[in-house]
Amino acid sequence: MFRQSLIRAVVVTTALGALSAPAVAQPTIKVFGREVQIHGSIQQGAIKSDGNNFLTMQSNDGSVAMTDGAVNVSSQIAKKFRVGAQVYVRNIGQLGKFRPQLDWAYADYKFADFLGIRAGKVKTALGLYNDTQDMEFLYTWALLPQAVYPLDLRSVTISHVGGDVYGRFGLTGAGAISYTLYAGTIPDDPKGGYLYGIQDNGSEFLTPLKQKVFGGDVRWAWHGVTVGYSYLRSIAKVKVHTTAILPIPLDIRADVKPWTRQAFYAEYQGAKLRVSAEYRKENRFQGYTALQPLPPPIDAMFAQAGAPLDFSAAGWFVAASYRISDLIELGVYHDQYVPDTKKDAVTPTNLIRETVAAVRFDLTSNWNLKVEFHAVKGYGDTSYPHGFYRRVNPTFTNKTNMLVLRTGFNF
Amino acid sequence: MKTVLFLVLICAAFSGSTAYAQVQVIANASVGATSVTVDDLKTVFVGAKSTLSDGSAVEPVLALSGAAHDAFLSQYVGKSDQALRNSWKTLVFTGKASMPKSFGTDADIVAYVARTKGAIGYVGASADVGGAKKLTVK
Repeated sequence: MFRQSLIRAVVVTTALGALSAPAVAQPTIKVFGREVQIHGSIQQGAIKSDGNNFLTMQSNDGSVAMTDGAVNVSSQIAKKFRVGAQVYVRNIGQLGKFRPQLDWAYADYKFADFLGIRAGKVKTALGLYNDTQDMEFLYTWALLPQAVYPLDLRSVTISHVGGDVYGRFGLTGAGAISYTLYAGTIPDDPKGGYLYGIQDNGSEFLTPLKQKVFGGDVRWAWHGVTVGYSYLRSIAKVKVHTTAILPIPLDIRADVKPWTRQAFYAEYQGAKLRVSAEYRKENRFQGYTALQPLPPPIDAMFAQAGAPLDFSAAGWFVAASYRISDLIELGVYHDQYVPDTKKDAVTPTNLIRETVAAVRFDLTSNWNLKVEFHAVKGYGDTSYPHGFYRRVNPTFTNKTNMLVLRTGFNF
Repeated sequence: MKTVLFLVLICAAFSGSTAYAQVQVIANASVGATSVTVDDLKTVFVGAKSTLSDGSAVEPVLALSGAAHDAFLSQYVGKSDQALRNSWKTLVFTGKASMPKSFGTDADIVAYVARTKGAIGYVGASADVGGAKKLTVK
């Protein structure tokens, strides 16, 4: 079954890849006399694992439920003014379910290189790759380091509806500093991993998880070296029906205030060598309020079991890749995620550590194939899943090995 | 031994100047600058900025391939063709820029640069730059 699905997926993407050669030409149309560019990408992957099922897939049986793609249109209306939008679709395990999402859509006015503004739905600058994480064609990897860029939790930070102020200052002889400041709201994803984790925990969101957010990113770049820092701070209120706090059904309001993420990162990109590292820290202060009167002694039990929580999680990775020819690039990375940094990262419930080796084949300038092996230890806190979900794992094991294939083309 | 070393140095010196001579940087007549720095070329051609140091707004134009393209990338941009395209795809797929115009021949690049306000491009050393103006690289 897996073999048949894999063959089907390979045939389809091979056909698409073969079509990518003429797609090198720039696809443009004219609308009201203005040139509009159209670009897109599509990716198909397959995972075969042992140990735990991954990313809501039945990956132990082999799964090809790993499809995503995007199409964007944009136009430079004037020298300093541009508009554009992108639609993104994915079906990764049970994530996304081919529901089209407006990925970004905004107007951008650039007063000068040192000052511009964007308004609309904008990809959020956070760490090295948050805003570009879907562009698999940029990377050696089939999967970016999941400790920092978890595919299942993509929507929690991927973009915001609001505005950015951005710019770049050249430093004479010492590279340049780029900055982005933003504020807005992060929309909910009804087919995302955060929601599924809550559901697996015996709870249901009664209202969407919508975050009010502000933050910024600053990075210095010089001769292929990039060093930067990002900060994102949000607050969220959500009504939840839950049996996770007490063994009786409760309707509660969860206030997450504040929810912060910080990223410290560095990258070197040479002609053939690319080395990168990022450390991500997340803090979440979460309180609960019952939405109905609770009789004694339930009120006392709720006060105890529903006491405010102060979460602190951290993830990091180091990665290196080397292009040995126009066709082949090799890479390795090591990453680690700790759901609760106040506890020792020694048990499989408080650690996900993986070592990954990958080879990327550039079959044409627009079509690639990646083969990647993951050796994973631990599965993390399954109350707040990070790749490993109860819905596809009746029990968990300490070790998971995975073979990941992914091919993609873009135009 | 000294003679061999001398010849090697001479060859190295000439090979360097030959490489620089492989490409001419051209711009539309509307671009105020008569010269451009290597840093300007690099940042403009990877999409990091859209003005030269003198404030001239510019629109980069790429060659699809060829000796002039390879020479331009290695001398001024410091990226492979794939890395350059990826820089632009990063901007395009986040909505921050449009993909620059790319042409297959020097003549097409010259024609586009000559007729497009703010355009800046590069062609082979022997190409006729026609109505475009040649910029000195500092």
